[in-house]
Amino acid sequence: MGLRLLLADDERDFVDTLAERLRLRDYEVQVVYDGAEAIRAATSNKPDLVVLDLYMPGLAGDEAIKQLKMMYPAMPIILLTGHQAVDDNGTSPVSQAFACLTKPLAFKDFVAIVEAAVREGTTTGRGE
Amino acid sequence: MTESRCMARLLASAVHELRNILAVVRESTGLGIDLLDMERKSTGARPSGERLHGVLEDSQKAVQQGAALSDAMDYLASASEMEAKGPCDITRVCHVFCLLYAREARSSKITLQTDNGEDPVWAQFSPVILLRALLDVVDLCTSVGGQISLRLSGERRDRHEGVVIEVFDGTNRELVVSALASCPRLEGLRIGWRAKLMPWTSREPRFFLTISETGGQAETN
Repeated sequence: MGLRLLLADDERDFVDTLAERLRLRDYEVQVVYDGAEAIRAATSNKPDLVVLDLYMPGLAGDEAIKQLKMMYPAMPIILLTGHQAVDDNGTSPVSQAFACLTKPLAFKDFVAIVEAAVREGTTTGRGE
Repeated sequence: MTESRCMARLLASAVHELRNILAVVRESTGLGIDLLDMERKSTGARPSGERLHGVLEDSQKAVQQGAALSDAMDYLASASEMEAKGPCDITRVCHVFCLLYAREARSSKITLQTDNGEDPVWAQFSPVILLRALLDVVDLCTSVGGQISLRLSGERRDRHEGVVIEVFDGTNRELVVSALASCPRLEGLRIGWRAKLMPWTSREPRFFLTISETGGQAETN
């Protein structure tokens, strides 16, 4: 079975298509459309990796990553954003992400980063 | 709220939206390519499939260009709020200028070029002041008929940071070089700053554009 990924983004056309491309490559993908749903899905399904949009209505990605990292410190998380400049001075929740990627993504690069993030998560151990 | 803050916020929001749109196009065309590749593997290539593959790849390239333009717009949004004394990465400003003004320059048959991947050249003035000066340089070229190519690059020369402007190709090259050589100071910068255009005598036809403080006096030709 492929890696289990959780994608959270309120841009449905984007995230649904991204999920479909990942499924064609044997990833097991769950899609949710806001931060609160992402917390619930991550808690019940314990994915190998979570991809969060940074700016979502309701619970935004930076708040969601804070909560997820409190519950599952070793769970690898990748942030997506449409903004170029992300205020990451090492103290914000954003700095807890494995990577912060700007849309539109080069799919090959995205897959490579997903694999690297999961490898690092496996190395550091996910004992929660 | 200042006008520049207002412009910066509107521009940043529009860029965010543009990136989302580009992301949808990129993933949709990418999915199309994925499905065609799968079909090609199972049933062999078909002419219509090959054509569709090419069209989708063209769309992906267009998205890449749109993404680069979005980055340049985002830089402009943040640059408009920067302090008058910078700091400013001249290399990046040249790259941003070429992306933002390519279309308008083309209408005067002026091609703008810059080298990607050059090292940053840091200077103590606002990126907007430099963008304004570069716009003046292109306007000057347009005023004598355009039809040339300009290559812009950040460089440090005799302890001054500036832009090397190389004039090459094109039927109007001599006229443009003469116009730039006779216009050592550019107009229109904000009070307290001046832009100077020096012929780079050892490596003609090149010019070195520098920005400096005047100590509060507006400077014109």
